[in-house]
Amino acid sequence: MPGTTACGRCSSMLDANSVAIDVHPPRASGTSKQIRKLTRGLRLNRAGDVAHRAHTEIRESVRRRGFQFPTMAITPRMIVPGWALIHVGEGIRGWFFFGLAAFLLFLGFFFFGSAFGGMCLGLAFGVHVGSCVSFLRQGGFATRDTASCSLVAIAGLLLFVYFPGGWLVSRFVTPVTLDIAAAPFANGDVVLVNPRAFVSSQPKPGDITLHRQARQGLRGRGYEGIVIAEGEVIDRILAQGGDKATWENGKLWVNGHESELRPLNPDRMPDKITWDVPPGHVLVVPTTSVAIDPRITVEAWKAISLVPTEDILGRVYFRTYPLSRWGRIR
Amino acid sequence: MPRFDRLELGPNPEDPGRRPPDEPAGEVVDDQYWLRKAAIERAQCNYESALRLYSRALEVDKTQVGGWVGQVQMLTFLGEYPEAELWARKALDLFKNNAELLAGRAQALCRKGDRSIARAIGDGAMAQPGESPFRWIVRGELMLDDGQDTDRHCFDKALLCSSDPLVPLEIALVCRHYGADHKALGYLRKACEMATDSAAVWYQRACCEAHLGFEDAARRSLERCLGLKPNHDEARALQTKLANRSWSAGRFFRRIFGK
Repeated sequence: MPGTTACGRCSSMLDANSVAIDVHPPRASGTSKQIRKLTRGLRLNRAGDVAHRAHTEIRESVRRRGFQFPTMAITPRMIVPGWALIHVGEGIRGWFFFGLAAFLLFLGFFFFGSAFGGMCLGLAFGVHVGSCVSFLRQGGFATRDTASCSLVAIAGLLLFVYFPGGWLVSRFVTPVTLDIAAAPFANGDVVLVNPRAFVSSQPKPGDITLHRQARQGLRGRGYEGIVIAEGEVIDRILAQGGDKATWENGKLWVNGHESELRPLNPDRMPDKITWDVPPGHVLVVPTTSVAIDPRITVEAWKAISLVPTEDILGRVYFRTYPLSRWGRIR
Repeated sequence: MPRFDRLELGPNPEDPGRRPPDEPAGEVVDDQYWLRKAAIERAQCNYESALRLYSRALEVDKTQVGGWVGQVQMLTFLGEYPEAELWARKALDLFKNNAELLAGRAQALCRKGDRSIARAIGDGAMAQPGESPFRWIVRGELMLDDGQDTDRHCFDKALLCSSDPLVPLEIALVCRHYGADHKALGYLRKACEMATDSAAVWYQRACCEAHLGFEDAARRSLERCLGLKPNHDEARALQTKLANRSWSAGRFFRRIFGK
């Protein structure tokens, strides 16, 4: 018909010639051509197809069993134990799961790093999985499918909640269990270390750190033996690079001024000793290390107290086990 | 390559009678002229030039669906599958349910890896009225990609649809894309019979034979190719490569075990 701009049968444009259309096709850049050439052999471009097929198979299999998938508005609520159940009206069950998981998580973090803390965190995970299974069974899973439903819940929670969360927490909190320790620590104590404390800043006097003690042979005073010192030591930084420090009569003097800082176990310090801390080092006297015999010579004390800053592994800030000594390490 | 080598300048407004060097004086330069030139370039496997010529045809007349289909096919031959798919979609906005464009899109999608969608669109192309070799080629390609042995029937149908030597040549190129050189060689032989004077066909045949380990046959094909077109650089390079090729254990075992 006159004036018609589209074909009545196939709706193709009839006035294409009068319409401004670019007739030059887009072209791939040299880099993208290279990338496509490299990935063609790897068949990476088939991954989407495989994923689509797997998704269809799983969906069909679940549909055959008469299961109703939770909607996208509810599924993310499974991240918090019991939340999805509360949302669908199962208030009592939801709050029970939430309360139990919260209590166990609290205990787990309170005793973080200890065997008891690990057990509480494991139980909290179990309660979380239980809440997810309980919610998914609302959708129509039969009792015989509980095992497979639990496996899906475990995989989903591990993948989307616990592994990313654990990775994030481990960036800032790493529990260290002390197997052999001297006062003020005891065997079996669990302390928390922040391994990223000195990523953006330098360690400074007053910080309690975990550092790596290089292997050294130390000559004793009053006996003919050599003590081998090696391992990881926790103690306070007393002075930094460029300082001159002196310990005398139970007092510390840094650059001629009396300092408030003390090592964690001052009783093990020698009577008098002076250090010139070279740049790039800090002064940490390993008074909590049982590997160091207090009877070693003054030269040996000097050698083991100067720690290169790159040997510092992190800041120690909290003791979570045992309960009697629970609290911040000062 | 000179920087302004591919710059296309229109006719000089001050001298309307003067034509660009590739426009002959005695021939009407319309869309059909550019489409004919594009087909010649395509037969010589000069897909970059053919793509430009299809674009020129569309500059003259945008309603030429053959130009759009040609562009999509050229982009696919040049390995630019996402671009080919995008361009096919754009062309399909203008020419709804055009069978050739649907087939072109299915081919691009298949090479991109979206097999399921490609298969659906390929079926859609076949459902449209009429028949064309390209649709059968794409159907065969989808089957080849799927690992089905029925691709041969589709390719045979494509050969029945047209006696153009371009059809067996392009079937062979499809087979070669999927590493089925043994299948490609048969179609290349057919193409050589149909177009004995085409250097491009002889060169493709030589490549296929060289890849399958038939070196003497490849040398003979290259001689024919260079006899038809002495300045064929790729053929010359392959000939030199074959002449300098020494014995290789890997090639020996590949030939025995057929991989």
